[in-house]
Amino acid sequence: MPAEAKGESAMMRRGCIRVFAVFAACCALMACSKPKSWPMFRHNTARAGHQSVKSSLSDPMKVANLKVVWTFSPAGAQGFYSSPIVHDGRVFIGNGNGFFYALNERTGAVLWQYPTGTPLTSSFMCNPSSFGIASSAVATRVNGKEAVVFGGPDRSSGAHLGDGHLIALDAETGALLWESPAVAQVTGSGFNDLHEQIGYSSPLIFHDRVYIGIADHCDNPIQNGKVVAVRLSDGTIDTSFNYVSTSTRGGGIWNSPAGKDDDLFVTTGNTRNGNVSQPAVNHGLSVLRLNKDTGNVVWQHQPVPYALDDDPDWAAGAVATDTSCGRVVTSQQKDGWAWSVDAGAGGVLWAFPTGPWATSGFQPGDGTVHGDTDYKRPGAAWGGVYLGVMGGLDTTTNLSGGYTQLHALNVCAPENRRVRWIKDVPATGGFGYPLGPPSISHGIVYVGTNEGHLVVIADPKVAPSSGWRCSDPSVPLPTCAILGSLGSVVRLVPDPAILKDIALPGASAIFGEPALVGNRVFIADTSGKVFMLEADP
Amino acid sequence: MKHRIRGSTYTAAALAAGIIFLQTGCGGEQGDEETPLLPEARPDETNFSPFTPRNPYKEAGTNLLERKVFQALGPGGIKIELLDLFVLPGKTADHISLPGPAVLEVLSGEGKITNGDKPQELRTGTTFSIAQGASLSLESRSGVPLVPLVVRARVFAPGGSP
Repeated sequence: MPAEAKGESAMMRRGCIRVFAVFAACCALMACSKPKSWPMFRHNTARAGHQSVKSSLSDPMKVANLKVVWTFSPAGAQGFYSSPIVHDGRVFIGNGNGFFYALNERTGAVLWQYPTGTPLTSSFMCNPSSFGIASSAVATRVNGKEAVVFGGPDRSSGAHLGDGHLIALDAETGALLWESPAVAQVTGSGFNDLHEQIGYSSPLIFHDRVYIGIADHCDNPIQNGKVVAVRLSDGTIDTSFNYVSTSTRGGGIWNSPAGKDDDLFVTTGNTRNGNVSQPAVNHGLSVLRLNKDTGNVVWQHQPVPYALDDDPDWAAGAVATDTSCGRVVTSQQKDGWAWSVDAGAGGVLWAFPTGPWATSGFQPGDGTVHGDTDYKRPGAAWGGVYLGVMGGLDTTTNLSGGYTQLHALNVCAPENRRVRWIKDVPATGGFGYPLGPPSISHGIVYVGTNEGHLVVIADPKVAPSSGWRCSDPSVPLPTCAILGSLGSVVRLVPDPAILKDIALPGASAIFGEPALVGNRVFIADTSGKVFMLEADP
Repeated sequence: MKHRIRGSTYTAAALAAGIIFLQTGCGGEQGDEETPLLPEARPDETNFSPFTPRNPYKEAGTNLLERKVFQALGPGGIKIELLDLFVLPGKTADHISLPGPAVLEVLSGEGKITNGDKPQELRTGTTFSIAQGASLSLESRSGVPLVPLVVRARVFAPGGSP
């Protein structure tokens, strides 16, 4: 190579190094200065419920000094059935009173509320999801502007009974950026009237669309489940995407769609209520992968057939995670069974608890029960661990035994190592919602209870457990130890330690998730309070 | 020479920035981390947690655990009991006798029941009846490996105070 060319090459190399150096330094600075956030329900589009940034909340020593810093309760408060999201120094949350609030993250002071006039309510008041705004928001950018999007009823359209709309607001001022046409229609309360609702579904912003799930007010009868997509830029409905759950009614989407890369996942409610026979198209009681552009079903896993449908809605949403055994979708149905499915092709990886149904689904006469039990809350994922409220190994003998338990499952482990640990969380048992959705920060789990507590639990990887217990809660320990040594699914598993159990001042039952933001926890209760707790940095 | 020093400085700065970025995860998303399986309990483990189940099984015979999940007085002085029988995986529980006639249903696992000299294959969902005073054996040999056989018995026993 001529000397001149060598010199040019060296100069170009040096130039590249400089550009790279400046770029890397900028990246580092931007990353370090970027505010920590919990920008949507379950933190990310995969709905993992995991704070991926390490902070005091992932340090078992620092969790001990977690304390309440501020409490917010709006005038005329009703319950918070949505969860707070936090982005760019602001907390966003909608209340059962029909108003949506932006708060200062550090102080809890109200920055703005929406609307300033008539609240967003519907004519139905028969279920917590029917009260005001139950849809958790998502932070995004709309046409270059920081924005927040949520779903809720609005009586200004249709029959003025509270059709469901998606609403995008300027995150800084609360000004309306757009309101979608009605995506859930309410025409009355008669058998043949529409009484669709957005309810608990939180919008998923994914590839320039906003996806929202549609269920119903109060059943009687159930409505046809839908996923509707609107354009992020202006809120108009994107009719190229079309998904409905059945050819008649049923399959309501009671949860928040999940997305990862190009894949869209939802779970659906039951179909039997209001149908005289199985609909010709029945995507009810399923976990589904949908084509994000068309809404076509890519695969469907429906373990409970129509014949056994006694209302075990799939109310907990799908959680999509990349694990050592590939990309998986995991969730649990209202009947207490948890399922993990290959996200690509839809094949079942496992059922928990396992049985013949893991390969063939449930069958009439197999002795299993699939009713209106209360395993409804979405789980969380931390690497190859899935965490949630589910029935457990004794589901078949004790339908409600898991209501106050958290199960951590090893997603990719052999069957007899599925249970990682079990924790009984102090809460009032029985039906309803004893525990909220758990959130996790690198092995430290945060969960609200129906006694108004925030309970913090440590995976034994990050802090010693309080000892061993049996993976089947009803089996005595000596027997359990013997069975474990034989390789049974019934074996000793850790009982993780509770790092902190905080009675939130004046709190009622907690329905929503804790939002973990740096060293702060944001959580709301059903008496209408939002709490911010902070651990020392 | 001057250029080489400046180039090295830039390279070092770039590396440092990269390391900071990767190590601190300053505000950025970190990938899914490794969550290895936790260690197994030792065979002689005695560090048990304070958790106590509300209605645990109790040993009721060789390879057999039992618990009562419901009891009530029925019509005609009959006592109705719901019992769960738990047969250890891969084991057989012999000489099981119930306090009265019963209807049994397999809640989990697979195996075989022998009632007198009449063997019957069992799978989840199988129901069968047992006459008063019968002695039976339950063999757990689940098709799903290592899942215990659990049989719920609705027993109609002679009356008395529940």
